[in-house]
Amino acid sequence: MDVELGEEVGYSIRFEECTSDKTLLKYMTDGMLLREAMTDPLLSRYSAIILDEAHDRTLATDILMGLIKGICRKRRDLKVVVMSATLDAEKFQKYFDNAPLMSVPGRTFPVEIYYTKQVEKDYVEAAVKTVLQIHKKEPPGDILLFLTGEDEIEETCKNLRISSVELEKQYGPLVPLPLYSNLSPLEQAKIFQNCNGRKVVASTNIAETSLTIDGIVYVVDPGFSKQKVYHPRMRVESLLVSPISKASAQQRSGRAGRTRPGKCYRLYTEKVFQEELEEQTYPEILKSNIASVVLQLKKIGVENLIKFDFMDPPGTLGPNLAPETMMRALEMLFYFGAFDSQGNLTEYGSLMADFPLDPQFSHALMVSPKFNCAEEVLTIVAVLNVPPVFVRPKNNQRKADAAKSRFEHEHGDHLTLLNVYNSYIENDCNPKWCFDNFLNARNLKQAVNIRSQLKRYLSKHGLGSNNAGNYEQLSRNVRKALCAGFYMHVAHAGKAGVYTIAKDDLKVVLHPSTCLKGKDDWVMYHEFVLTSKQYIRTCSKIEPSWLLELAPSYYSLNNIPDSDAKRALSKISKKKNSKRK
Amino acid sequence: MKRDHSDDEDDYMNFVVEEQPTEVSYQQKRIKQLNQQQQKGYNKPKELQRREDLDVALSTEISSENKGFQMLQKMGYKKGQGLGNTKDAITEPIQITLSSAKDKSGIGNREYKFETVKEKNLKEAKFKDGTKTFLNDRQKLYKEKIHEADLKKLRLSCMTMDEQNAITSNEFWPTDLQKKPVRTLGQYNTEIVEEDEEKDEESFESKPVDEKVEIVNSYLREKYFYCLWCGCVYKDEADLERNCPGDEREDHDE
Repeated sequence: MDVELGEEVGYSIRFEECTSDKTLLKYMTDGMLLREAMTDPLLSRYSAIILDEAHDRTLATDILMGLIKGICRKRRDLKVVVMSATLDAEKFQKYFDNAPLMSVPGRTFPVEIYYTKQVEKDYVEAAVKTVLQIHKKEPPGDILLFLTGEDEIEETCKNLRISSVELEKQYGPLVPLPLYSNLSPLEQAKIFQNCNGRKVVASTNIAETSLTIDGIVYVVDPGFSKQKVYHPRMRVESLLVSPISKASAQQRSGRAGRTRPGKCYRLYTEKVFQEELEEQTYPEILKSNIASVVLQLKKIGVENLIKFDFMDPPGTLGPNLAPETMMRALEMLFYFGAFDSQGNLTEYGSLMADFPLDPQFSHALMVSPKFNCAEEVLTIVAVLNVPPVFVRPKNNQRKADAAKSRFEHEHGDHLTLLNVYNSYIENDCNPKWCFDNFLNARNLKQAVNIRSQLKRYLSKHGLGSNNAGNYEQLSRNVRKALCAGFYMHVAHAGKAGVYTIAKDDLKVVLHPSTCLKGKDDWVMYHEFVLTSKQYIRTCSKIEPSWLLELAPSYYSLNNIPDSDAKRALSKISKKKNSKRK
Repeated sequence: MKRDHSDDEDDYMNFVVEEQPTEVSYQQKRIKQLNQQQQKGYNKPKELQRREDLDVALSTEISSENKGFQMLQKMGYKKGQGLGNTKDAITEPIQITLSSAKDKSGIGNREYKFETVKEKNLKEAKFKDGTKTFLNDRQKLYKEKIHEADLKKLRLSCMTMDEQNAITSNEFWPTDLQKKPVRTLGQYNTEIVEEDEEKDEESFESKPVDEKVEIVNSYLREKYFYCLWCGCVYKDEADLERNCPGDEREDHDE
C-alpha cells in the first residue's frame, strides 16, 4: 500500500503498540484484541475483523470467538471472517450459526508417507539416520525435521554437521540449520536464504503452521512436540514432551508438498499412528490456567461464566473447559480480592484486569508500592515475563554456571534476576557484555521494554513507584511483595531436601538451576515443572509469618490439610497471638 | 501370639501358605511375624512413592470445601456437571502424560499413562519373590559345598582307618586312591560277588552328596566309633553315645 508502518497500517502486540489515529488496518495478536474488548465490549472501533489461524485454537482465539459470536448478534454491521485450515471449517461454520463457507483451494502436491516397521528406541538417533539416508539416496530437495526443543535441535544439528563431513565428497554438502522461537532473527533468516547444498531445517513445531519454508521436499517426523499442560488438581502448569495428534501429523507431512511432490518419513509405525495418536490436539484452553482470562471476561461484562458459550473443540470432546479449572481460577481471584465471594468483579479486580499480566504478577506489582519496592518488583516481573535470560550452552556449562554465580543472591533466584537486570543496565545494555556473561541479550532487551510499559501502567493507576531502605530491608520487602502475589506457590522443607507444597501436600524438589542451597524452611517458587521429577523453579526464601500476614484467609489453619507445614504455621500463629496479648 | 483371620487378608505375602489357623507351626508363625516386622520398616522405592503420590494428587477432586468450588456452586454449578451450553460437556480435566527429558524412545515404546497402584504392587511382589528364591538358591549352594568338603574328609579318614585295620579296598575311599580290582583267573569265583559290589559301588557314587556323607559317616561311627566333627576316636559305642553331641554337622555347631 506504500504507507509508513504505524500510520495507515499498524500493529499491536503485547507490550508493544505501533499505531496512530490515522490507522485503518491493524494487525494484532488475538490476546490484544481480547484486551481491547475489555474497554470496548462491542469492539465498536472495528467494522471488520479477520480471525486468522483459528484452527490453532489458542486460548485467546477460543474466548474471542465466544465474544464475537455474542457481539454479532448485537451489531449487525460487523463483518467477521474466520480463517482456518480445511479440516475444521465445518466446525467453525456450525458454531457461527451456519455462516457461509468460502473455500480457497491451496495448491499442494501429493506427499508419499512412509512409516517405520518397528517402534524406535531413540527417535533422535533415528531422525539423524533418516536424514543421512535421504541425503545419500534421494534426489535434491531440502529436508524439514521436527524435534521438540532447543537443546535437542542444537545437538542434532551438531551431530549432522559431523556426519556430513564424511559424506560431502560423495554426495555433496549437507547444511543443518536450527529453528526455534528463541533463536536470534539473524539465525532465523538463514533458513530462507539459498545455500550451497542440501538444507536440513531442524525445527520445533513452529514450522508446522506458523512458518512456511519453500523448497522443502522431505519431512522427517518423530511424532513428538513440546506441549503445554495444566492440571487444576495439582495446579501444575508446564511444558511436556508429548506425542502429537493425527491432525498435527497430517499438517507436518503436508509441509513436504508445497513446491513439488514430496515424501514424509514418520518415525513410528502405522499401527501406532492409527491406534495411539489422538485425533486432534487439545485446544489450549484445556491446558491452561485461565485465571487471567476469567478476570478479563468479567471485566468485559460476561455475567454468567457457567453458561458462557465456549466453542466446542473439534472431535468428540464436548465443551472445552473442565469445571475444576474454573474453580482454581475463581479461587485465586477471590483470594486476591479481585472477586467477591459471589464471583462478582470488585473495584480492585477491575484495576487488576488492566495489567497485561497473570493475576499473580499484577497483584505483586500493585502491592509493591506499599512495601517501597515498586522499582525492584517491576524489574523482576518484567524479567519473569520474557524467555529465560540465562544461557547455558552444552559445551560450556561450567563457565556459564560460574558466570551465573556472580549474580547470585543469597535469598534466592528472584533477587538474582534483579542483579542480572541491574548489571545489564549498568553496562549500558551491551550485547558483548551479555555474551561474555552467558546472558541472552535479546531477552534482556525485551525485559527493558516490558518494564517501561508496565511502569506506565503502574503510574497510570496512580500507584507511584518510590523506594527506600537499606540492602537487607530492601531484599526483605521485595520478597514480601512478590510473596503477596505468589503465596499459593509456597513450599515447606521436609526431610532430605524434599519440599512439600504448603496446601496440597505434594512433594517437590528444588530445580538444579536454583541458587538456594535447600537449607531454607520456607520457599516461594515461580514455576512448578513436571519432568522426571516434580521440580520447583525460580525459588526464593520467605518467612512463614508473611503468609499469615499477607494471606490470612488462604492460610487459615482449619483450611490446610494436616502436615508439617500446618504444624509449623500454627506454632507461629500462636506465638504471634501471645505477643499481641 | 494369637492369630486373627482378618490379619491374613491384608498380608499378601502369606497367601502362599494356605493353612488352617489351628495348624500353624512355630516356624510359620515366626515367618509371619518377621514379615510383618519387615513391612513395618519397609520404605517404598522413591520413584514408586513419587508415582503413587502423583497418582493420588491427580485423582483427588477439588473438594467442596474449596472456595472456588463454592463460588462456582453459587453461580449455579452442580457437582458432576460440565460448563457451557451443551449437555456433553467434559467434567474431568485432561489427563497429563508424563515422560522424562532423557527418555528419547519413539512413540509406542513409552509408558505414557500412569501405572495403577495395583500393577505396581504386583510388580513389587514379584520382585520380592525373586529375591527370596535367589537367597534360597545361594543357601543351597553353600550347603552343598560344605557337604562336599565333609565327604572328602570322611573318605580320607575312612581310608587311613581301614588301612590301619588291614582292609585293602573300600568303595568309601577317595575315588582317585582306590585300587582297581585286578581281574585274574584265580579270583574268578568271587567275581559274582564283586560284580554285586560293583553295582553297589556304582549306586554309592551316583547317590547325592548329602546321602554319601550320611553313609560314610555312619560306617565310620559304627565300625571305628569315629566322629569327624568331634575329631576323635571313641573307646566304644557307649562312649560315643555319651560324649558326641550327635551324628550331624549341625549338632556340633555351638
